[in-house]
Amino acid sequence: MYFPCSVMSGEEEKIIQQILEEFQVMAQRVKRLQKECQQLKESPPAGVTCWPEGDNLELFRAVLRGEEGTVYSGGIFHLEVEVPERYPFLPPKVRFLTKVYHPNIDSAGRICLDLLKMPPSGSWRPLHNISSVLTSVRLLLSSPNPDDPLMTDIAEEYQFQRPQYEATAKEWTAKFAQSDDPEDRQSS
Amino acid sequence: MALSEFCSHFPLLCPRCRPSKPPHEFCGFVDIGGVDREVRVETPHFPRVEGMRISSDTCLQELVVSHMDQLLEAQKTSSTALEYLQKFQKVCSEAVRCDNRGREEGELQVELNESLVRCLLAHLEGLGWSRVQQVSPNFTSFTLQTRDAGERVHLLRVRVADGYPHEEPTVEADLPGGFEFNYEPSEGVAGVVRVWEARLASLQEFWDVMDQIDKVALVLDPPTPCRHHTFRRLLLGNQVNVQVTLSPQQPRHLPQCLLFGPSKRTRPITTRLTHTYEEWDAERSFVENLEHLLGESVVRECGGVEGVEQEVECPICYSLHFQGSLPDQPCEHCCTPFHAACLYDWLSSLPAARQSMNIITGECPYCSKNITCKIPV
Repeated sequence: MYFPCSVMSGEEEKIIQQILEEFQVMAQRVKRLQKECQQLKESPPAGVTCWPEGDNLELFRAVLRGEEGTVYSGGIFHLEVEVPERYPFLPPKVRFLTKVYHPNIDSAGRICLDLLKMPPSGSWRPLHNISSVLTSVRLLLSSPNPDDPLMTDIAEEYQFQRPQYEATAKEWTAKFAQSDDPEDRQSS
Repeated sequence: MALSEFCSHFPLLCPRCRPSKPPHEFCGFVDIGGVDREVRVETPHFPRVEGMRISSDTCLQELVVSHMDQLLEAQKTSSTALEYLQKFQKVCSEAVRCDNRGREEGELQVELNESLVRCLLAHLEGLGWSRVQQVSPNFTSFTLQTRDAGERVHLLRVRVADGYPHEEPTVEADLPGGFEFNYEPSEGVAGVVRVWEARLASLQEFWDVMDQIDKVALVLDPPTPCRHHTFRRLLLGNQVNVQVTLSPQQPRHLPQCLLFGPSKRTRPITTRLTHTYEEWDAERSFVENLEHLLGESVVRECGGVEGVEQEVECPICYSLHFQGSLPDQPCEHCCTPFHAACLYDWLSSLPAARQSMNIITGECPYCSKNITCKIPV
C-alpha cells in the first residue's frame, strides 16, 4: 500500500548528481583518514605527535619537537593541519601556530614546501599522507631551503650572516616554542 | 545539501541509487512514536516531493489508514521530500498514540487471513518445525533452514501471497546460477523444498572444493564469500593475483583462470599456463593444482586480509575494495596497483595529464613514469 503524494514538475537532477558524487568521495576520504589516525597513534614518526581535532576529521593538530643539534632543538612547535574535502587528491594545508624564525616559514605560520603544493609547481601525490608531510616539515625546519624562500630577509641572513641567523632562531625558539599552548605566542 | 539535510533528519534511512543518479529510493527506519518502523520511500524526483511514495509494514499501514485525509493534506502543503516525510512521521506518531490508548481499552485487533494461515501451518508442519527458522508476525514470509551432508547451513526465504497455495510463492536461495523450479500448487512449499534440497545435494562437491580453497588460501574477493559465488580472487604475491572461476557442475576440473597484475609479471605465467593446463589432476587438491599449473605459490590464509593489507591495498584510498572493485590498475613500471577510479581521479586533477578517447595518460603517483588508465564508467 502506498501513501499518496502530489505530482509536480521540474528538474534538479544535476545538482543531486553532484551531491551524490561528493558523498562517495567523502566516504573514501573518511576511510583513509581513519586509517591515517590509527597509524599516527600506533606508529608516529620521529619527533611528531598528531591528533584529530573534533570528530569530523577535517582539522588535525600536531606538535613537532625541534631536532637535537639544530637551532630549534628543545623547541615545541604547534601546527594546524587542515584536510581539504578533495583529500588525498589535494594536499593538506599545514600552518605553524608557534612563531618560528625560518627562511621558509612566514609570520603567519605559512610554510613554503613543494610537497604541500599540487603539480606541476609542487610535488604533492596522493601517496603522501599527514604523517609523511609532517616528517618533511620537521626536516625543513632543521635544513632550511634558502633557494626557495618565503622570508627573503631571513634567507639572506641564513646564507650570508649565519651566526646572526642562528642567534635569532635560538632566541625565538627559547621565547616562543616552549609552551604547551600555542595561543601564548599572541601575548608576546 | 538536500541529501545531507535529509540524512541528518532521518539517519536510519539509507539512500539507494544507481551510479551518478539521484537517490530514487530510501530504505530503513523512521522513528514513529519512539519505535523505529521499517519504511521504504520512493523519491523519483528527489529532493522534491512529486511522485513520492512511502510504503511500510502492514501494522503501520493499518494504523495510518484512518488518517489518510491528514496525509493527503500534508502532501499538498509539502514542497520537499524531507518536509513530507516529517509530516508523515508526525501523523503516524499521533496514530500510534491513539492506537495505544485504544489497546489499553481492550480493542486490539489482529487481522490474519485465516485460511492462508491454516494452510501454511499444515504445510510447515508437514515439513517439520525443525526446518522453520523464522516466521513473520503476519504469516506472509518465513525462512526455512537445512543442513547439507557437509554440515553447511542453508536458508530459503519464502514469501507467500493471499492466493497461496494456488499462487506461486516467491523464494530466495543462495545458490550458484539462481534457483528455478516448477511450482506444483498441490504440493505447496514442500515441493519447492524438495527441489531445493536436491540442488543442495548436487552441489556438495562444489562447496567442498570452495570451502577447501577458503580454508587454505587467502581470499581477496569476494569480501564475504556466499554460497552462490563461483569465483575466488587469490593472491600470488609479487603484486599478481589470480581469479579462478569454478564450474559448479565440475568443480574438480580445470577452472577458468584470469590473471591480474603488471603485464610483465602476468605474461610469463599466462604463457606457462598454455603449456601446463593439461596437467591439471582432479585427484590433487585445488590449490596444489593451481600452484603446479601457474608455477607460483598461492599466499596462504593467515587470519584475514589485514596481514597483507599493505601489499594489496590501493595506496590512494588505503583500501582493498572500493566501489566493488579491487586495485586492478597496476603501474607497468613500478608495479604498484591502484583502483582505476582512484587513479583516474588523481590523473584528471593534474594539468599535465592527457586524455584521448576513454584513456587518460599521466605520471604514476609512485614512480612518476608514464601510466595509462581507462576512464571508469
